[in-house]
Amino acid sequence: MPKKLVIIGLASLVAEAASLMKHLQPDREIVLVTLTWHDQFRFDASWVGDLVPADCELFVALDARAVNFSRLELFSLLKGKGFGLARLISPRASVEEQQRIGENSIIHAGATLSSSVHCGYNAVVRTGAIIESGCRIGNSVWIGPGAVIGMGAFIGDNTTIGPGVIIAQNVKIGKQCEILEPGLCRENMADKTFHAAGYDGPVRIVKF
Amino acid sequence: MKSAFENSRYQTATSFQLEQRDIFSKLWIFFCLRMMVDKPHQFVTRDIAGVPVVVQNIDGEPRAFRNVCLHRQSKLQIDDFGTRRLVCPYHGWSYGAEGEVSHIPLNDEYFRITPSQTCGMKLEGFRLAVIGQLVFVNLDPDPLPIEQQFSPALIDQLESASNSFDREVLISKKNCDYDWKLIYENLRDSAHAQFLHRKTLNKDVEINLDPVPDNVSALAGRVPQLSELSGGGRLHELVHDVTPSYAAKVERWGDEDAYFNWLLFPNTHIVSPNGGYMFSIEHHHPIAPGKTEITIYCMTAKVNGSLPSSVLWEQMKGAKAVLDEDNDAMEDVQSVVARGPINAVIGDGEHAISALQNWIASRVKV
Repeated sequence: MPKKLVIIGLASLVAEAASLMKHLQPDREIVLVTLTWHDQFRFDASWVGDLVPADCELFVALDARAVNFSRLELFSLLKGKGFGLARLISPRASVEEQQRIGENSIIHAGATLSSSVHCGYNAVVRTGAIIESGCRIGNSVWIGPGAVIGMGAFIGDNTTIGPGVIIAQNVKIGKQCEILEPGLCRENMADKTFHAAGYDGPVRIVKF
Repeated sequence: MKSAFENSRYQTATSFQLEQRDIFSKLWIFFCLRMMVDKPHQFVTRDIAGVPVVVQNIDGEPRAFRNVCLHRQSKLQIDDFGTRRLVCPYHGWSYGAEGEVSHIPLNDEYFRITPSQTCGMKLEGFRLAVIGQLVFVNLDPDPLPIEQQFSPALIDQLESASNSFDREVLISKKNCDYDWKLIYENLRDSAHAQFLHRKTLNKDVEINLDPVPDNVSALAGRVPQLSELSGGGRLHELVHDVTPSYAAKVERWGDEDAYFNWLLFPNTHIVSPNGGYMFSIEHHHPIAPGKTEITIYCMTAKVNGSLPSSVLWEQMKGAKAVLDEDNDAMEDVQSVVARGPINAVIGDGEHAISALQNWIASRVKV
């Protein structure tokens, strides 16, 4: 009998995760814990209450954008308390090697993860996204609907790949980047670089 | 009263060239942050009045030179900023601290440029001044003292505020289709915010109209001192608490919950929208008649530890929303001034705009 699953997060994301889980394991006991916008920044986890790691698995459903670090911090806090974190993979997703997907990741319906894809923990892969073979996806990465990650590409931790973005083969995208404009990205990107509409050229964060 | 400016001032090549000669080649122009050039071999490049300039750290000190090799006129530094010795990428000529040619690869076997030839060869150097973390360059070989352009009180504030900048900086650029003077006039006008920014800036900042001086009639036609064109400080109260979520992690500048704003003539605007937790610098760089390139620097106050990149990125998005509102309005105005000779009308409360125009008109004779 699988452990009880407790989904904690913002209301819309909690509902989304719960819906996916009901398709995956219809008979599994699911408990929903909804946080307010401000709660997600209060990491005392007092709302964990009487939960015991041995009895349940958790899933953190916070901030769709991985660059917001609250999802990662809450994940780390709960891991520190000894909780196991679930992986949620939609039965309508195509994932060739599920064991290469890290904890607290969610793979939505219609997403495709080809062979030899390594996907870190805390990742979000939205509807219809395609990750070709040999890609390495970092931790806390958000990949938007319809995005394509070409063969052998690398996506750094806490990076957001927006809807409709295509990352060319073997391209390396650094940590804490955002690529929001749909279209082909064929150049490597340094850490903390942002591509968005309305700017002339990439926006960069540089430590001097 | 009618604006002192014919519309042609905002759009003709003649006006543009004269301003480049009489303003941008004569005044102290903001160039970069001190932290971008305070380590060995760090450099920043930009054009001032059409002159390519590099500020390069050589032997521990930032120095300003014309960014053109004395050999066959390649740019010495290509990127906007970085860390690289002052060596021409074309044929490897390298330069020393005074701009002298220090080494020519293949000279013995190929170029054969004699010492007597190289001893007279030096990069054109420019004067450089530093206020806190703000680096200014002046192209004039005999520049005015910077205290004539910025008052001592303003210099003190800029030094204090900028010395609290963190060293992690967000840098972005945007090209806009309007004359630099339009945005500067816009920034001197306290009335536009309640109309252009009612859904953005006005939600957080209580922007009051500047008081109209009793002697406003006497000010008409007056040409102010140069130092009167720059200033700022605590400008507006905040509508509600805007203490950011990262407040505990930074060494806030000051302790006043207010909107701070400094205008540095001719083309730099510095803001702290939340009482010293975050700063942004907008540098409006005229690149052609009716065209301006804006470089934006965003940074928090000094951070203890580290902050995620999302902090600066979210701040940039908020600032850009306000900036876009101004930019859209200025581009509309520019499109109109390009079509007709009608002069604008300036109200009494806009006397600071008149003062600016009077000074420019007295200096730049079109």
